[in-house]
Amino acid sequence: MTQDDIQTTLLGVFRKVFSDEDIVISEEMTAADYEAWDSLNHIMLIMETEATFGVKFSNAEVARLQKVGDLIKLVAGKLG
Amino acid sequence: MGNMSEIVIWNPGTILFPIANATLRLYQPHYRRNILLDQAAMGWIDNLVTAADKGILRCDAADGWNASWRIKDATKFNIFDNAYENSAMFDADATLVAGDKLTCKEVLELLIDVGILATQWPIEYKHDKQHFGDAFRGSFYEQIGTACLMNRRIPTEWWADQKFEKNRLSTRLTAYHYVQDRFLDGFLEDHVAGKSIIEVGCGTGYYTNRMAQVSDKAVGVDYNSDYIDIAKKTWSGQGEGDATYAVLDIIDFSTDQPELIAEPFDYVIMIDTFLFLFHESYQPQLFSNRKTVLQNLAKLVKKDGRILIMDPHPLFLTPFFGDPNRPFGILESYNSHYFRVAPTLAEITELLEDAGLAIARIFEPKPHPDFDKVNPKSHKFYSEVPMWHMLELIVR
Repeated sequence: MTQDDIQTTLLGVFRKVFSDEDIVISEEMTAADYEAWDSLNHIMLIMETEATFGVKFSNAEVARLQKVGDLIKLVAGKLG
Repeated sequence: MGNMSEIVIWNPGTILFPIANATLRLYQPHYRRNILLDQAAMGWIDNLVTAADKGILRCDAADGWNASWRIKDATKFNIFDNAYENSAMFDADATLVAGDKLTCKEVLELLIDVGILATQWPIEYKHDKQHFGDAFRGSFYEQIGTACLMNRRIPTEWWADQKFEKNRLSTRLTAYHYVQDRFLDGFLEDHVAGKSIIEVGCGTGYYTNRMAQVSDKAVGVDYNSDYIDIAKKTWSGQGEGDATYAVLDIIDFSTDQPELIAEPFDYVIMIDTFLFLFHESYQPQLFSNRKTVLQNLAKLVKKDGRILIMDPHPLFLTPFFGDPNRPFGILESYNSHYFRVAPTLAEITELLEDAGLAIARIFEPKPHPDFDKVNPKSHKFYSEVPMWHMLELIVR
């Protein structure tokens, strides 16, 4: 799966978690860029991302996430 | 390491407890952080305290630094097993072992992070989380969020899991049971027998069902339809005295069963819900509409009825220490909500005054004596320092 493929799949995750079909994501996007991206939705986002890609993140990996691009790279690393 | 030097200041607010096995527990009250350190490092600490004058610490033998000391972060936010029984956030199972050695640089980074050492005077305290995964910073709610993130748990499930058994039919044998439940049992029997009562924010319906056993009429309402579905499934068929449940948005007063609230009630009660009206970011809708919420509660109660607010006490989550038979608390703030989430008395009365309500009486429940058999230290502390209070309100 390429990083573009991961970003496309991740877009579906974002749309599901935030119930927003119009949401657009980019590698530089952070929680500060989207009002509904609060701590509760962040939990749902991580859980849904793990379930969708069939991967598990460590707490240290979760703690280091700053932006969407970090999440894409993390998933890519897990999928090898 | 001998060349390592830092300008550091020992935080005079750090509290030291000698504990078993030649270990010191260092407690930083502003961040509720705990560190275990070799007792042999006491001379080094003394040097640090003295170094407040000279302001420079060198990690070498001349300053008493000994690289063989063991040190460990022993902070634990055990949210899934009743945070209020470990509000000092201490991992009591943590011990120092041979491998717990850090370099001087690592020690400095850790002690600066937990606020035991500072790099400037006056010390600047950073209470806010820097990111979602930033553990041990932020308010109680925010730390719940991080704990849920790290444990992949949904916060609403955490709340129910902490308070109730898995089947939701009873409270766990914690302070919820020995303080809140036992007090409410007595209060309901004494005051609500033969009366009508509505519980706003009833969640999965546990308390409404108890009210139904003694009252003439009991209704449970919640804005969350998932909770109401669970309440109906869990408590249906309980026989005579069944409660009824409905979805009600207490902000706009919309409901799926208007007939249930057509007549005013003798009592309106909210349990562990009122505090959410005071937190700007946790549930912003409730915060910005808090006056309306209270005015809508007043619409539900008879002219001579009472509104009951059972809520965490302003002293809720006070960390406690010391002799298990005579524990004491350390209060590092009251007006600021760095960690605490319960409103102050001034915040409560300002809102009540604004909404046309007044306090007729305040109850401060003590634990049932049986709590002593389950958790003697918590029993002793919460016998002295209230964990919940119940405000009995009238409409002015």
